[in-house]
Amino acid sequence: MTDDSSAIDHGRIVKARRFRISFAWLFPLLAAAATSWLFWTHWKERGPEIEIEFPSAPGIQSGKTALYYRGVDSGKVTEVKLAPTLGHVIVSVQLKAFAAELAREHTDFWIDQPEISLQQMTGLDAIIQGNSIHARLGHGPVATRFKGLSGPPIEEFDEAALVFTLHADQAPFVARGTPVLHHGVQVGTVRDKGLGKDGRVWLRVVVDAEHAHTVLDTSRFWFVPAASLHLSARGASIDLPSLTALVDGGIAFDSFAPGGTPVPDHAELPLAPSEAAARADGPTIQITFDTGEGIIAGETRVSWLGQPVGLVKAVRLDPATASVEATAQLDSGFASLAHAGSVFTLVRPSISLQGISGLDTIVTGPYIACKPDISGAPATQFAGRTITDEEWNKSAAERDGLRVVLTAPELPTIERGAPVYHRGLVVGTVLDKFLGANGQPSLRVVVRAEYRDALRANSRFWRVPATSVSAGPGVIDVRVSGLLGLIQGGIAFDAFGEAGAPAQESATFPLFDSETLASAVSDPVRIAFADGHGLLAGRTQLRYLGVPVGVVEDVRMKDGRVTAIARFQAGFEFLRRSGSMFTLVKPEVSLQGVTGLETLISGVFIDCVPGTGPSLAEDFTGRASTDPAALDRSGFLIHVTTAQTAIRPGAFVTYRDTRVGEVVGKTLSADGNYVILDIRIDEAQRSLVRQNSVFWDASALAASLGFIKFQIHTPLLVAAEGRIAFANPPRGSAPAAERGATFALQRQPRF
Amino acid sequence: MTAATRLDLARALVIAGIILYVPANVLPVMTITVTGDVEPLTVLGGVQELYDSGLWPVAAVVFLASIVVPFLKLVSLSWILLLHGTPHLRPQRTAVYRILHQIGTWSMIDVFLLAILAAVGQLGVLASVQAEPGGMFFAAVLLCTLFAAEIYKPSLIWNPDGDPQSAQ
Repeated sequence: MTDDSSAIDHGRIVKARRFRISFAWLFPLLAAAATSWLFWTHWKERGPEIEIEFPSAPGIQSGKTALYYRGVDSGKVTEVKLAPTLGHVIVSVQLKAFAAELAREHTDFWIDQPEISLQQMTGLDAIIQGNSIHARLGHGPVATRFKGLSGPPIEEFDEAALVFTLHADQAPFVARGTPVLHHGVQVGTVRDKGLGKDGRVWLRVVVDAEHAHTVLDTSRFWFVPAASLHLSARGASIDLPSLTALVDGGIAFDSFAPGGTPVPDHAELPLAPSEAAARADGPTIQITFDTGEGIIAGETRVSWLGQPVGLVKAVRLDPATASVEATAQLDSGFASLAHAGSVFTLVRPSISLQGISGLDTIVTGPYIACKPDISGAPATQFAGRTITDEEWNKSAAERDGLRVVLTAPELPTIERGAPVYHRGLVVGTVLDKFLGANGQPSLRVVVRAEYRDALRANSRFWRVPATSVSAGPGVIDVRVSGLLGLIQGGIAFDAFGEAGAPAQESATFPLFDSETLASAVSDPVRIAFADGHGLLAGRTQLRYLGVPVGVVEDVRMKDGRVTAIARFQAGFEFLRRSGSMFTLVKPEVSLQGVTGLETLISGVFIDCVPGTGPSLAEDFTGRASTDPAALDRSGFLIHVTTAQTAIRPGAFVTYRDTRVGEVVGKTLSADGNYVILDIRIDEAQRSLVRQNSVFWDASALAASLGFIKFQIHTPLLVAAEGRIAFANPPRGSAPAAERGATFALQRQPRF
Repeated sequence: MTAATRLDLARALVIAGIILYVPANVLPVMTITVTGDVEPLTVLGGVQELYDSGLWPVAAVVFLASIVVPFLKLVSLSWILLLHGTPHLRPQRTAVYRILHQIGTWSMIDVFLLAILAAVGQLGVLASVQAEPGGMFFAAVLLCTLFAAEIYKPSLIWNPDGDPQSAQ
């Protein structure tokens, strides 16, 4: 056994030096893989590089501007440089691999620029994304040099779209992008617009392939305005076809005739300015009118039974015949209207005797109404009328009517066209207003043929005022003689008395101012009045038992007296007998009562009392209803004197508040020191006036006479003339006063 | 983690960083779209843009922070790792490491900025900022250098084989 126990070999820890790759190296590997993948894909995405020549390259930047094909980013501009000649720009584009096929001959490249105008905005994306280059694939061998287009091509894509050209005289509001609508659905767009060699506008239209079959050779194209306002009897409506069309307007088409075959590509078609014009593609007719007022080429419609069947295409003024020739085109399918015998009438709003006609044309504008006559042979030339059938018939009737001349001292308000009435019927018209040979204004009047028998040689004409008011006791009659009469008045005639012989052509008649005047047919009478107040020539009536029987025709001054010349109506000739009494009745308001109140409204009138004389007389003396002479029948006259007084003739004289007389005169005394009032006491009461009677002025307010045991109350209403009262002293009675006795007028009753 | 593992990991990360540094600078880090003007920007392009617009101090800062600093980090890390196990320039290596560690705190600021720009710079069609793959690579470079620096402990400079944990 040894002690050397320390000599135990524990061995040595030796590191196993084996080759080991640390997981850490995964990181560089991953990094390398990612980087190389990135670069590889980038390289793989690269397609061929092409060069495009552009006349100019606004907004194209190398490294930024993209090339789009069908909206897909298909490449990037790598270089923009000017050609050595400075004639154009060469843009190099690095295509992406998937777009390598674009590098073919006939591929079109163009620069998409934003286009903003009032009508439309295109290339809006270009504003956001900047300008870009767009491509349309061509078919040809591979190429790398291209000539770019200056603008977008007509068809962006190469589908079998239908392309055709529309020709129009003018095409405002139509631009690239304007929609083409069929039944309101957009089926295509306007791609280009230009002026042809013939000076007409052409529009290149592309219709989508799927809608190409809708365009037939019978299709008619027309402009759809941006917004249209329809005015009709039902009201106004605004049509907005669509939002695009609202900005833009549009072009619509439809086929109005059955059948039709699809149009071939690149067809040339006409474009009408409106739908109505597009519809009118039938036969063309010429209508000659006396006046072209209201006819507008391209707007005035030809209508049949109220429905539009054609359109006036052109209006030509013929100086030789001073007429207007409207060239109208009928809608296809209404060719049968163009037959000889058809009547074309220009309908305009008119206000005539028969009423208002053509009122719809105020809103729709004048139109040409057609009344076809299919029996005739086809024709293209027509003579048009400018008035309605009714007027046509009427004017024909007037041509055959009876013409007479009316004369009057003056002719206010009656104009040409004013109606002529006979017993309420319109039987004729005023044709003309002129100054006659003798300087008198005259009217030429025609009475229509069918009524010519109504006009007799002894017929009287009078003016029918526009509006008349007649008033009498208890009735006020306002008369408006029709709408037309309201505007211009009219003329009426009638025969008073026995019907005479038929009137002769061109006979002359006087025109009276009113029916009353016209109906007063007797010989005139002259009535002299002291006072002509209220007498009105042509107005003041003569009445017999309250019934109007005549009228004052004229009022003249003769020998200081007023002379009224009056005539009586037929049948009242007996009032002209000698001995007839004529009294001028005026309104009188007094405390005795009110008389002649109706004359307040109707004016004064002359009351007639027939005489009993054997013969007819011409001159009469009329009386006034307030004539003092008439009142002096009873004659107990006394006089009252006073220094001065406001009492006037007409004042009452009362006894115990009862009217017993009246003041009939007021005169100054010879020396002018006092006033004499003449008082007439009624015959029945004359015994009341005693020699000691006391007269006082009762015009003053209430006076109390308590000490003589009676009171006098002045009535509330004291006549303007004043009032005189008298009484007798209570003690003893004096003898009755003499006629013509004179009393003093006291201020107050004093005994 | 043994010293050898740490060394391996650090070396691998630095190499990965160097590889990623290439696409990080070649690829655009972001795309700025201002009213249709599409501007894909690489880091260097961004600096150029800033310099062109007269903001040369900003350009200098961005150039330093985004190009020079990552580059220097990669270079200095490589240098430290290359000299690993040798006795040369140990104090200098330690000093460089310190600086690296300090700067590392701020190195992700570019990526942070990019993230904020991409998130905030969304003004619809008027202007927008979009992060591009370059940013990812850039971030990856920075992450590589960060982790490399963190894994390689400064004690390994002085004691190449020592366990960093026991050495402390």
